[in-house]
Amino acid sequence: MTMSALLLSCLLAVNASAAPVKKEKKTVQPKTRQALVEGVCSFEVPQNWQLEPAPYVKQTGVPGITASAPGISAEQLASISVSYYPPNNKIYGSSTAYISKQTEPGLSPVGRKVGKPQPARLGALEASVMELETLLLYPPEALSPKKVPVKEKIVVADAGKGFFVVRCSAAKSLYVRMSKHFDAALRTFKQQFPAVSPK
Amino acid sequence: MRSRRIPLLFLLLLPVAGLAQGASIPAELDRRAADCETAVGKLNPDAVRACLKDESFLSQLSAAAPERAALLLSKGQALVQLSQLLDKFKGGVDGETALRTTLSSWLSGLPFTDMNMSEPSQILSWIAQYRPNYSQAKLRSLKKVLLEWDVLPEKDVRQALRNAGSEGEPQAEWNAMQLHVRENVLAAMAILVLDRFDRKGECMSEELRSELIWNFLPPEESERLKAHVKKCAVMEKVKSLAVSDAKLNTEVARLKGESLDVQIYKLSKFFDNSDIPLARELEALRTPTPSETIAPEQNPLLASMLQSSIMGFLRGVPAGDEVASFYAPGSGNEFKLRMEDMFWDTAEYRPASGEIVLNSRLIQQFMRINGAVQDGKFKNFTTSDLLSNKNGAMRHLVNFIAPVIVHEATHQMQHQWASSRKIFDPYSKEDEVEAIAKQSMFMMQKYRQDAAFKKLVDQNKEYSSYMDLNVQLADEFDRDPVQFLQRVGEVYYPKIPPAQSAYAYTLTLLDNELKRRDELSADEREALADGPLSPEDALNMTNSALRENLEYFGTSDLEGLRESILARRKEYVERREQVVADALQAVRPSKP
Repeated sequence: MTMSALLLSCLLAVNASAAPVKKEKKTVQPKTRQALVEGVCSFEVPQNWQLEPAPYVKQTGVPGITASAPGISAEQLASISVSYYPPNNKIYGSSTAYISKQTEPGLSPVGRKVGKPQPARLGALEASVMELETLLLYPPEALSPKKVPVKEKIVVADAGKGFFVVRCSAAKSLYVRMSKHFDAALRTFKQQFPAVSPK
Repeated sequence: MRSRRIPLLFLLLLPVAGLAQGASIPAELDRRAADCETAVGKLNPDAVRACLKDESFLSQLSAAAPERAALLLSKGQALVQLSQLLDKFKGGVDGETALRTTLSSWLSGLPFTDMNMSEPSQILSWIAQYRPNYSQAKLRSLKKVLLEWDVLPEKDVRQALRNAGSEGEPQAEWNAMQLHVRENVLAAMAILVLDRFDRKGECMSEELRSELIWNFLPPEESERLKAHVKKCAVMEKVKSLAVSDAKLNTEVARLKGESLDVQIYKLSKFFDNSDIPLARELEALRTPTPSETIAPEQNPLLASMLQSSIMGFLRGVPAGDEVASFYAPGSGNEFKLRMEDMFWDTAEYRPASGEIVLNSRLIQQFMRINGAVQDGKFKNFTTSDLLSNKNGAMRHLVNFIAPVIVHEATHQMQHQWASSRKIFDPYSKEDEVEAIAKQSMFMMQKYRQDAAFKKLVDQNKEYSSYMDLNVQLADEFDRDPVQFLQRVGEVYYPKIPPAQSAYAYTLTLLDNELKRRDELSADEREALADGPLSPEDALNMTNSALRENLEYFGTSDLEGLRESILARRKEYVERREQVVADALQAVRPSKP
């Protein structure tokens, strides 16, 4: 091993030993908070996640919320975005159209793989889930953008006269670690308006 | 600009203020100030914090002895901020890197250098004196932040010092170095390691690539590291293919020991005339040949050729027609294209000159990937092909750059809208939402309608990061505009404020500057009554340009700008919100 390589490997050792010192085990209740879209839906996310209402609701007609893990960046992406598409929204007419658009070839970006929709649950709602892998390229005006592999779970459920879309996204390297938070959000999901009786 | 003027101002004020201090400062205030100055002198963060919290004392001191107040504030604030930063520090690899970055820049500048707090050992002594309750684990972590000798591998630091030309006693030299110098020594070591791998044509292990030492590399060297990683990924594919290809295997063996660049170059030649994807990947990564280099003097000619031919290629789809109409003869809007070596960005619109500037490296990327079949053999386009428009080279190039032209033309349209109404254009998130949306719509519309464009996009997206990015953005916008809008805000342009906040920031800039001028002497205010820049110049600036140039505007012009912004804010914000609605309407003329 060269001296230079030694320096590098030793520095790694220094940083590895910088890992948090072991603490005594304590029984800690998992701390969560409620992500709420007033009159639309709610779900639980970790206490320290940041909540941001969906942008440009006036223009899209699609209310929603995004919960992001602390320190979000393109390389450390981990978030849960919930959108409700009411009948008068300006983007999609139905959940079927939404799902169909996600599974069509489109421009076939490099690295995009989408799975077939499978039955799933969103809280008490019947839903469809698709697994998606993409490459996130950023910054968007760079000559040599960075490429971050991203994994997503897209859950779509009809509700009222509209439908919900929940996108659980994480950099692929973080996805497994984030899965428990994604699953908890989907499990604790509640719609806040009365369900419409089937005709 | 401002930071250079303030010390000058203090120099001018000092003699006057010194007299004022001796003559008129009340004894009680003088005593209190002296106590606080002693606290600063002793670097006692807690005592200093108490002084800075006493607003009444500070305002009295500012009135009676402004230079003493300024020094107390400058050094005291720095001390308090440093103590807060260290108190909050929780350790961990990411936390250590972040703290090191901050300390490296703070400690090498004023006021820390004036306070004998620029060297890591001085910081550690200060911690021992004022923060004795820090845990051993936290202290060790802080030593790693400060790159202390006893937490680094001694042999290797000695080697890094020798590389840096050090001839003295290594530990003493290292201890005397400021943090940013230590970082530089390690950066030089990292560069050396990278050079060695590139020169010997070897690839680093994944473990080595993920080392934190690469964080010390300056930006241009980071780009080289990224290129090294890409080249090694392609070399892996070549080696896999060579297992079942004896001729290739011989070539790979022959190239062993050559630099990575030479290996990639020679392998790209080995695959000449081949249409397998790997050949394209090698082409995209190899160094340009002299025939593919654009000399600076060729930039204007190439820009002029592109300028005259691009509008015809944009027409035929709604997003392209809109741009072509904007520049139509008689519109008063001029399409001025310029080419420059811009390093990192693909292109930009410059409001001051009204030019769209294209990075000449983008054209080189195009030439390394695209070409034509001649005599049954595939040949890459050369600069000469472009300048003589041989084999349809210009047609391909125009298609290649069309999406980014739509993006930058959209910025020009935004600027034209604001300046023609005499509205200050601060640059906001919605500007980028609209520009990316229009670029993406152009991509989708052209891809669906124009077979030649589709073919070019499909061939290039695998090898051109620029085209890959265009495809990703367009595809994302088309499939889920709601998620796209969220990502533009949080991931792509997290630091650019939305329209409402952008204007609030402009007002803050103007208010602060006007307030500062109010507090100057009558002579100084008189000197700033007029400035070399006019209100029209402000219309060609964004917030960041305005911030840099505030001092060149006359006071009444700044007041006029503030009034104009207060009056036209609503119009600007509504327009920015409307463009988002228009972009969505264009991508979803009818809901699927």
